[in-house]
Amino acid sequence: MAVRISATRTFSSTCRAEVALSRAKAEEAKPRPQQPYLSIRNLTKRFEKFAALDNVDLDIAEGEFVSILGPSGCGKTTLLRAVAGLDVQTSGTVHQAGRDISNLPVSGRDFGIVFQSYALFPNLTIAANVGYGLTSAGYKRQEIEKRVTELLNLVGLADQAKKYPAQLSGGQQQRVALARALALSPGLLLLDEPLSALDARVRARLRGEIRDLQRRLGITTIMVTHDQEEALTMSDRVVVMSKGRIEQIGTPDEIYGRPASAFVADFVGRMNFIPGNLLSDSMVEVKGAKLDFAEPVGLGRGSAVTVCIRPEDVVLHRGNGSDPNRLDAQIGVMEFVGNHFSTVLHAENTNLNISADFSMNDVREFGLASGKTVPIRLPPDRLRVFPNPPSEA
Amino acid sequence: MRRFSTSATLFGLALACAVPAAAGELTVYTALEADQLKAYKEAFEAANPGTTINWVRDSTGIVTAKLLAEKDNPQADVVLGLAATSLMLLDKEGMLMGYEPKGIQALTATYRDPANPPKWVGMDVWSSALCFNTVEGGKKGLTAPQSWADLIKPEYAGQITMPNPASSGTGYLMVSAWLQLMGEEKGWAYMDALHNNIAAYTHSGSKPCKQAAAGEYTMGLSFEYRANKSKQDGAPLDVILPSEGVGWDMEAASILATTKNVEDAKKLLDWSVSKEANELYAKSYAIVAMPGIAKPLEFVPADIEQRLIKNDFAWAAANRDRILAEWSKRYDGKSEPKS
Amino acid sequence: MTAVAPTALAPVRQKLSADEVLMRIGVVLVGCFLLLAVVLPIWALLKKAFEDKSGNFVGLANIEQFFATPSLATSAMNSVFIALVSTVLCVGLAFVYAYGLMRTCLPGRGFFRIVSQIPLLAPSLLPAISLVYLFGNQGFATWLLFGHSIYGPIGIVIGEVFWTFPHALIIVTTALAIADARHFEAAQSLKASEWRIFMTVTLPGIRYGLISATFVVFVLVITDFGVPKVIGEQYNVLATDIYKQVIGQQNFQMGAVVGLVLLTPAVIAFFIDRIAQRRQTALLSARAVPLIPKPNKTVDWAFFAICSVIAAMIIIVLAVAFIASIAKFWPYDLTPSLKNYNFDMMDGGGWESYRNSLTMSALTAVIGTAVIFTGAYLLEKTTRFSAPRSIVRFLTLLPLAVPGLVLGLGFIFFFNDKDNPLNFIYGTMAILVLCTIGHFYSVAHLTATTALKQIDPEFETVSSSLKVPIYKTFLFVTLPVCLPAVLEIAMYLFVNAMTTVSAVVFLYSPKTTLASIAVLNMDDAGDVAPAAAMAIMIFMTSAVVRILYTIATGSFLRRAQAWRRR
Repeated sequence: MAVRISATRTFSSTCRAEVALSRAKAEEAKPRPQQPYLSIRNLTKRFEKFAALDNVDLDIAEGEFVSILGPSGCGKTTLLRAVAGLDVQTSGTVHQAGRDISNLPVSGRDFGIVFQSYALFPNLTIAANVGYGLTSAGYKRQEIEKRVTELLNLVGLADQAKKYPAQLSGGQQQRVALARALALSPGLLLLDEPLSALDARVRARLRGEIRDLQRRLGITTIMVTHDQEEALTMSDRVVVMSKGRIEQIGTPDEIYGRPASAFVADFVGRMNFIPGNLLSDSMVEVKGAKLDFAEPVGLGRGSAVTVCIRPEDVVLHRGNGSDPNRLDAQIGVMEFVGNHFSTVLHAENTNLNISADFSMNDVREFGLASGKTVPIRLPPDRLRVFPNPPSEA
Repeated sequence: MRRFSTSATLFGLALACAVPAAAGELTVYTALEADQLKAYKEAFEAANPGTTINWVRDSTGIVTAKLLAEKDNPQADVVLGLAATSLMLLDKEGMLMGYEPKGIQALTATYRDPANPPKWVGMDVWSSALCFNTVEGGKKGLTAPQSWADLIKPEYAGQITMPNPASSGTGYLMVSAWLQLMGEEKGWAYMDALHNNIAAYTHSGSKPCKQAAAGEYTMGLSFEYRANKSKQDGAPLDVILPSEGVGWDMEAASILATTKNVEDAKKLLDWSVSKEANELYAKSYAIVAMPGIAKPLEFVPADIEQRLIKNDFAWAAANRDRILAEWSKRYDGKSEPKS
Repeated sequence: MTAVAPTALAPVRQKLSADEVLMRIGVVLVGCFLLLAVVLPIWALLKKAFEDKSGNFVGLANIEQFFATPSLATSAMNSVFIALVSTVLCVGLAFVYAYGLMRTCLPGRGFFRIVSQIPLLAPSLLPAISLVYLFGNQGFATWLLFGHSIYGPIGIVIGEVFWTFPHALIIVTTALAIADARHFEAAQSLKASEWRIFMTVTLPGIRYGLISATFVVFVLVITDFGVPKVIGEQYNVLATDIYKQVIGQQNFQMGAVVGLVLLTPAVIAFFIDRIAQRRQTALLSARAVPLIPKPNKTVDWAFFAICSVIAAMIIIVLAVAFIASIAKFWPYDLTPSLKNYNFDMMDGGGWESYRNSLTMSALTAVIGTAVIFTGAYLLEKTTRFSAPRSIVRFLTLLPLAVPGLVLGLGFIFFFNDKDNPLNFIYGTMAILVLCTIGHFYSVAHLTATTALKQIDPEFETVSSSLKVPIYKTFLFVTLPVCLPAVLEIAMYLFVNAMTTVSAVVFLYSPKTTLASIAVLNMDDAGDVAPAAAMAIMIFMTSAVVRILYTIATGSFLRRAQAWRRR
């Protein structure tokens, strides 16, 4: 589960043609630059007593790629479907490009959509699938052909035009679905778990391709996913949802590095949760250890808190200084998990057990081994302190 | 009402093939035999171009019941070839129109309603007859019965079928004849005894003879036209007119008082008393309404007219309901389904 | 950022798109269709059962009279007896046959499958007529009955078992098809005996299927009147009584009461069947491993023998009807002749009735498929509008609970009412088509729904987002993708319209006599051989349609292979 944000993105090499799509519609739908392209206010969706969406506010800028991330049942799909007009909200508003679309039917809105299941029409060729909306919009045959070729070039499938969906691989089918969704140059692209049906390798490649395409077209995009890796790698901003509410909105970096709540901390990446008590605005006592932390929480002394630190943020202490949060810890069982070792550290003279990850280099350099005691440090700026003790996940 | 109009559109297609009843069409209820209908229709339509007949055919009892049930909303224009006893019932309900067909003077005076103008006119007489399968009889060592009295002999147990009088006019004329011949008390006693020998009561008057012809049962109480026809078709049958005398009824025609097509209805009645029509009747029946036309049937004794019992139509019509109720109470258990 | 002020928390009502308006109108229309074709006629029948001849409400008087009439009470007992015996025999035979097909490696499985479907292609009158030729007083094999008469309960039971056999077989086969091989392997590894495995794994696995089959057959038998009509003779049952009351005595009130009495077991069976089917489906786990029978010489040949006997009986019944129909004068002159096919000289409407049947069946297939498939589509795909949808969805299943005889009777009461603006369709082809579609609506609807559920649910969303009107997606995507199901529905409706007797027997008119009714009327008039001939015509027509369906489906699948191949 523990995931570092990969610095290298696999950019598509399959997009051969650099087709700049004319997006006149998006241009004119930009009255004031600072105004968000999509603005969601007080969005609430109730089923009987259960609130699938509870007063959600969200602004998305033009050209932004926003992922909505959360466990199943958190309301992320409901939010997407409300934006699309598929399941209209109980109350609240949605504005797109300054236009109130809150109560418009699906066909009255301006978006393209891609589903997990691709939803390609199996009896139509790839070209016919991509041109489906164009035919109905009354374009001439040549125009349609030109546009379809353009779109298929864009997703790198120009040579597959005459085939039927079932003859394509899953990844190819999803790219066709993407081309089809873009055919009418919509202002908004909605992606509903677009990669979940694909196997890991294809998924990783397509992530980059979709992101690349989105950047080039500059199309405002909302993607719903339960896969944090997907959300973190692809998005400009990530919206983490839980129980119908937004827990945090932020860049992938912020979400991972500075989770706003215990829920986000727990849901994104791996995390140590340690119950403790506040000693002061910058010091907390956890299981017999006193730890400094950087960010004040604004709670009174003695308040029960939860202290969080990611396993990879636990570092080996180099040098002899008596830095804050320096502990001597005994190494437990070491588990080799591919590119690093994972272990549990027991801090001496305390009851504190912390999961920690060490790189291969560290292991070699310091000769780390089970049973050995080493000095470690928990950097204060890496400690997050939350008021509500979450249930240990 | 929108419900109906919307669904009406749904049925547009289906309706395209439903021919609406047009002028020049007559709905004619009949109990004639199916193999006679075609010839009658062709002859009438040839003589009256532009007028066509749509037959509704069933057994006498069914047609009678249907006409009575539809009293408030009659579907028929004309009844052609229904027992006179049944027509008398309808007349009692005020359902018939009086009309004196052109040429009625040529008919035997008794073969018409005595009222003036007559409510119904006779066509032909049909009478009961017994079909005896000689092959099956031979196999079982049975001799052919010669009289009604013979039929209740124990050796015929389970060998006889007869029509159910409630559905079949042929069945009713037999029951009516026995009651008139023997008197009510002895008549019912006779039927009680006969009941023991009956294998099944059939829906139609033809079926007993057809079953006898096929050897399914040794003998069947039926009527002379069917007996003659089956024997012509090659069945090993003896056609027997029991010695005490045979029951009979008259097939007759009448116009429904409620018809919207009086002109065409009158044409059909005119035709029904014509010589041409009587010649057609004569192909099936030994006795027809117009004197001098009838000729003997091939396999039916030529003296059939002398063997008819003296039939009190008025009594048979007036007591029909009572007799059928009594009959059903006594014997319905052995009746073939369908009345 | 405040350009978009949060509005008050007023509930949002989504505007309807043109598609949605269209679809809602469609749902309402389908509801109206079912109202006309099923609900209102049944309502008219129920009302009639509580009225006297002049239409005054009389409470339970008619029903009291029913139970006070000894002949009717006897008929009710006879009906239950016949239905019970036929059900036990039919389900038993179907189980053995299905077991042979599904759980053994008997040779000739395909052949046995085809033969088992033969009874579906002929009216129930056909087996009854055949039985007369087989076991009647002049039958081929009368001696087999040891002096008992085929006329009466014996004949009815054999006839009913014959024509309900495929219905039971389909249900039991389906139940047997969803076994989980792992259960059997587990039992074998525990060294359970074959018998014990059968009792503890096989039977419990299909118990809901057996329950379902039992009730379906019971209702089919208790409401069938073709078989008892032909061969029951003096043995009266309710289904023939209703006919007697209505046609013979024109006693509509009592007919309605008998209809009500027949409706009761059908409704009960309907609910039990629904519950059983739900349970049966629940047994199917996604991870089940399909059971592939292993060859076992003894068992395979034993089942081959049993299935051969059953298949032979089906073929013999069909063959006898055919032979009787081409014999010149049964039983005295057996030279082949087409004399019995000269229907124009018989009761029942002649060749015209055969042509009418073709017209009626074709119209039923075309209109019925259009209405039912579109209806199923609308019910599946219309968004929101949930109350009307669930009502209409309930109505689509209602015909399952209504025996044809009862529906036909309801049609008379409803449409023959002078005050009904649709009175004009009485006596036309339209009423026959309407009644037949209503009668067979549910199974066709379920076929359509199953097919629709298998296609991607997001097609409509995608097309709306692409601004393509829904009817285009329906015509250019949904319909082509579901073509096999559409053909199956059309075939099902056609064959049933050809063979049905029960509903239409009350509704035909002199201009719209039907082949199946002609069989009945010819048999009534004693023309048994021509009746057999007409039944054979119906069988052959149904068989041809079925073969055409198989060819069409096959060629469709081949043509569509391009987009089906994975």
